[in-house]
Amino acid sequence: MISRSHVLLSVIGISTIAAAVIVRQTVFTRKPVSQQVASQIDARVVEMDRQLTQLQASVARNPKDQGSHWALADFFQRIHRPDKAAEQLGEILKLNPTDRAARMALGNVFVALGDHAAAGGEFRQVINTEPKRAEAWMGLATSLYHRQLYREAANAARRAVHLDKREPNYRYTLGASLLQYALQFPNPDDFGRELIEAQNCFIFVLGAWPEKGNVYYDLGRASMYLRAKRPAVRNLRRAMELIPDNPDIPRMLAQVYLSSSEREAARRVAEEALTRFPRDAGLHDMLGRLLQTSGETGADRLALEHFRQAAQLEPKTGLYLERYGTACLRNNLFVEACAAFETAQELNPTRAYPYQQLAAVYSRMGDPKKASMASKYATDMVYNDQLLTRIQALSNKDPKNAGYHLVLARRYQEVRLAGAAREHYLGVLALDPANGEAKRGATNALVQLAEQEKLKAAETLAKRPVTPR
Amino acid sequence: MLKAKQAERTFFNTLSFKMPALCVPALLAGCAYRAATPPPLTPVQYKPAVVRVARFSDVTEEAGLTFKQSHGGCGMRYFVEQVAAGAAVFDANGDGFPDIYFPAPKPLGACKSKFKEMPRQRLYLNDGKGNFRLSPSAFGGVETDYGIGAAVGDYDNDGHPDLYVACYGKNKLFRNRGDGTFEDVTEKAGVGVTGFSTGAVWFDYNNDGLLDLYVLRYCKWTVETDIPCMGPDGTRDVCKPETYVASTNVLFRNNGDGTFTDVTKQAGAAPAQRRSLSAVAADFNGDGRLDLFVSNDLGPNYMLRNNGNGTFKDAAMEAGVAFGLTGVAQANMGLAAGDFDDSGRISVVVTTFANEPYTLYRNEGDYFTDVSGTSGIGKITLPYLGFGTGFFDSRNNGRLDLFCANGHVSPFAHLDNPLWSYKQHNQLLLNEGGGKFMEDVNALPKNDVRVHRGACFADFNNDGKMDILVTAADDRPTLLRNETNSGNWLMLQLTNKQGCCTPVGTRCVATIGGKRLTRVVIGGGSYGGDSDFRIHFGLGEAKEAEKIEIHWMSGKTQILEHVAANRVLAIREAQ
Repeated sequence: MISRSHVLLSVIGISTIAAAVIVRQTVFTRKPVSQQVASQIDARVVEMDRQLTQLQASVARNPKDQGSHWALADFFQRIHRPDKAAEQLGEILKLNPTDRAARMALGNVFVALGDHAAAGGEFRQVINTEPKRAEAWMGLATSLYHRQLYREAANAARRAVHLDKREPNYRYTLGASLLQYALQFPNPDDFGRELIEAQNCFIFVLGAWPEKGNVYYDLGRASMYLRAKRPAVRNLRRAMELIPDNPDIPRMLAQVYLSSSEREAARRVAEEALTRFPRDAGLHDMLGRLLQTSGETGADRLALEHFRQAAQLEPKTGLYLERYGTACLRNNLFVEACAAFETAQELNPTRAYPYQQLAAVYSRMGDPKKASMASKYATDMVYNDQLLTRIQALSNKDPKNAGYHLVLARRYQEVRLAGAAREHYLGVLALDPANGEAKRGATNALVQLAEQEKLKAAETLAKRPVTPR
Repeated sequence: MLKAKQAERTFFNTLSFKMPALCVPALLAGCAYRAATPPPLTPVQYKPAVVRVARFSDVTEEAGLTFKQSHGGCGMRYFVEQVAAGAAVFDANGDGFPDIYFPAPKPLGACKSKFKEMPRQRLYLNDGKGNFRLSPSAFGGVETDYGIGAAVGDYDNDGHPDLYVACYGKNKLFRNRGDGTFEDVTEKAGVGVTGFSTGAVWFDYNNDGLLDLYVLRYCKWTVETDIPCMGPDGTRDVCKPETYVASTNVLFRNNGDGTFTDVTKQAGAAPAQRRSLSAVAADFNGDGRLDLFVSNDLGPNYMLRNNGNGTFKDAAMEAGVAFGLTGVAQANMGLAAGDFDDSGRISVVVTTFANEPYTLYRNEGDYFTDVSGTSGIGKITLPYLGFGTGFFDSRNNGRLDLFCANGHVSPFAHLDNPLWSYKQHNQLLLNEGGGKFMEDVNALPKNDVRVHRGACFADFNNDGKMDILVTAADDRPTLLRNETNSGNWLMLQLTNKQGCCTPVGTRCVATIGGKRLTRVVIGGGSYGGDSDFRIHFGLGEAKEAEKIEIHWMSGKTQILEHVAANRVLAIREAQ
C-alpha cells in the first residue's frame, strides 16, 4: 500500500527534469524518442515507465479500488502531472465523498495547478467537517493568499497557528499574508499593527528555520515599513547572502539606505548588485536616482544613462519612464523627454506626474498653450491626490465612517488597486450591510483580483525557462 | 436623522475625484518638435584675489537680546506650535541702523493657564553699534494674537517702514509714526485676515506706486478643532499637515488712502488651497512686473506670473518650479531669492523637509532648471529640515552665499531616522563660483544647535559685513556677527519717487572690475519675516564700483559712476 502522505506533498523531486520530460513524451504522446536522447535514459526512468503501465492496468482492473487510484495519483504527482493526479483524486472522492485525506490532497493539487479558487473550496469542505484540522486552515490560507485576499488569508493562517502554535510554516503564511495586506495599500506604513504581527511571525519562523533567505527578506521588508532601519538592513543583508540571485533584495536594501540618507551605502549596494544583475531595470533606476541627487560632476548625464536602461528594459513601467523623462529634461533632451512622459501618461492616466513634467517640457519647447493645458490636467490630478490623502487621514481618524470607506473604495478601484478597494468595500459592508454599491464593488474587485491572478500566472508561465528536449 | 443622512450623502458626493481628460494623449501628442536651443548662459569666472574664510560669532547676549521667544506651548503640541515664529529687521526709528521686531506666539487652549506672564511682541532698537535695547512702548500696549511672521513695507510712502504681523487668530497692521512707535490701523485698513497665517509680503503688483499686501495662510486648524496626535512614547507629537484642510492666501490692493481691498479672487492670486509658508516678490521673467513665488508645504509651489492687468497666472508647472528634483511635491518651507550665478536673473532656493534636498531653481528666463544636484546644495542639505534661508554675500567677494536655518518639527525625529534630530545646526553654504556651493562647517558657532526657524540678514553695525539673526522655537534668538576678514563693500538705501523706503523690485546692477553683479530689493523670502531692505554689494579687492545702474520699478534707470567703496549711500529716485 502506497502511503497517502506522499500525495500530500505538493512537489516530489524526480531524478532529472530531462527524465521527467522523456517520461511524459513516452507515456502520454507515445512519440518515438530520438536515438541521442534515448541513450541518456537511465534505468530508473525505464523503471518508472514500467510502474506507470502497471498502475494504470491496476486501476483498469479495479476501478472501484481507492488504493489503486491513490497509487496512480501519487505517481502522477511524482512526475509533475498534477492535472492527472487531480483526475485520480476526483475518482476517489466520487467513490467516497467524505474522504478528507483525498480532499486535502485535491486541494493541494489545485494549488499546484494554480486554481486557487477550487483549492479553497476543497479546503473549506475539509474545515466544515473537521474544523480543528490545522493543515486545512493552512491550505485555505495559502489559496486565499494566492488570490490576493490577504486579510482572509491572514485570518485562516491565524486559525492554523492557533491550532498548532509550533508549526513555523503556519506562522510564515500568517506573516506573509499580513505583510502583503499592508503592501496592497498606497501607504503600507499606516498598517503598523499588521506589520508588527508579521515581524513577530517571521522572527518565530527564523527560530526554527535560521537559514531561510526569503524569511529574512520578508522580515527586512516589514522592518523597513516599520521604519526600523537597523533590523531592516541586518535582515536584508542576511537574505542577500542566502539568496544571492534575487535582485529585489539589494534593491530593497539600497532603498532602506536611501530613505535614511545613507546615500553612499545605498550606492555601493546598487553598484555592486548591478555588476551581478546588469539587466535589472529596478537597479538601474535606483542607481540613476542616487546619481541624480549626488551633486557630482556629470551626475545628470550618468543618471540619464541608467534611467534610459531601466526604461528600455521595462518599457511598460510608467515609473521608469517618468524618471527617464525627468533625466532627459534635465539634460535638455526635450524630444526624448516628451515621448517618455507621453507614454507614461498613457500607461497611467490618473497620475499627475507626467502632466506636470509635460507642462515644463512644452514650456521649454516654446509651446505655452500646450504647457498650460498640461498644467491644468496636472492640477486636477494633484487635487485628486490631495483629496485622497485627506480622506485617508479622515478615515484613519474615523474608521467607523462608511462614507469615507466608500469614497476610498471607489477611488482605489479607479486607480486599479483592487485589493485596497475591496477592503474598503468590505469596510462599508461591515457598517452598512445593505449597501448595494459596496456589495457590487466588492464583487467587482474580486473579479479584478482574479483577472490579475490569471495574468500573473500567465506571466510566470511565460517567464519559466524552456527545458531543452 | 434622515436630514443628517442626506447631509452626509451630499458631503460625500462633493468628494469627487476629477477624471483625466480622455483626449489628452491626442491633445498633448506631438513630440516632433525641434528642440528649442536653451538660452545661452554666460557664467562669469570670477576669481577673488584673496580666498576668504567666513566667520560668525554668537553675540546674542552681549548685544542685549536676552529673552526666550516662546512658542506658547506647554506640552500639548498644538499644531501651530511647530511653525513657531520668525523676526523682522528694519529701521523702525529712522536712525539708519536696522532694528529687530519679534512676533509673540501666545499660549493657547489648555496652555493659557500655565503661563504666569503672557509673551509680548518685542521691538529692539539698535544703538548704532549692533547692540539692542527693548523699546517698551513701541506698540502702546497693543498686543497681537499668536504672532508668527512679520512683513515690513512702507505702504503709505511716508518714508517709514510699517509692519504687518501674521498670526494664528487675527493679523495686525501697525503704522510707523516715524519715531519707532506704531499705531494699530488694522481695522481702518481692513486687512485683519483671520485663520492661521504664516507670513505676508508687501509688493506693488499693479505698479501704481503703492505697496499691496499678499498674506500667506497655512491650513484650517483651530485650537478648538485640534486633533491630538501621539508620538511613539505615548506623549503628544505634532500631527502631519494633511490632518487639516489647507487654506487660501489673500491679496489686498492698496487703495492709497490707508485702506485696502481684498482682490484675491479677481486677481487669481490664490489658485488653490495650499499650505503656504513663504513668498518672494520679484520680477522673475524680466518683463518689468513683480511676480510671486510662493512655497507650499506638501503641495506644488506657486509661480504667480503677473499678467500686467491686475491678474496673475500660476505658471509653476510650466516654469518647472512646482516640484523638486525628482518631480514630486516637497515639504516646501522657506525661500531664498538672488542672482547667485551672475546671470542677471533671480534664482530661488526652497528649504524642505529632512531627506528632501533643498532645491535650487536656476532662473533661465522663461523657466527654471533644478540644479540642486549639480550645485551640491541637494546633497549637503539632505538630512536637514530647513525654514529660514537667504542669499547674501558673507565674505564681500561678490558671490551670493546661502544660509539655511534648520530644525525639525518633531521631537521624535531621531526615531524615524537616527541621522535626524529635533535640534539642528544651521548651515552656511559658500558660493564657490561655477554654480557650486560648499558648506563651511567652521563658519558658524558649533554649539548653536536649536530648533531654528526664522533667518534675517542685515548689517547691524554698518561695518559693511552682513550679519545674521536666527530665531528658534521656544528658545532664545541667535545674533551672528560677521567677523570675516572681508573685502570692500557698498550699501544702497533706496527710496523711490513716491517716497517708499522699501521699494520692492528695484534692481541694482554694479560693474566691479568688469564684472556685473545684480542685486534686487526682494519682497519677503526666508521664513517668518523680512531682512534689511538695503542693497549690499561685496566688492572684493576693488576700491570702487565703476558703475551702478538702478532700475526703478517706474521704468526709470539711474546711473552712478565711480562709486568709492565702503560707504552706505542713500539714493532717492529722481522725480
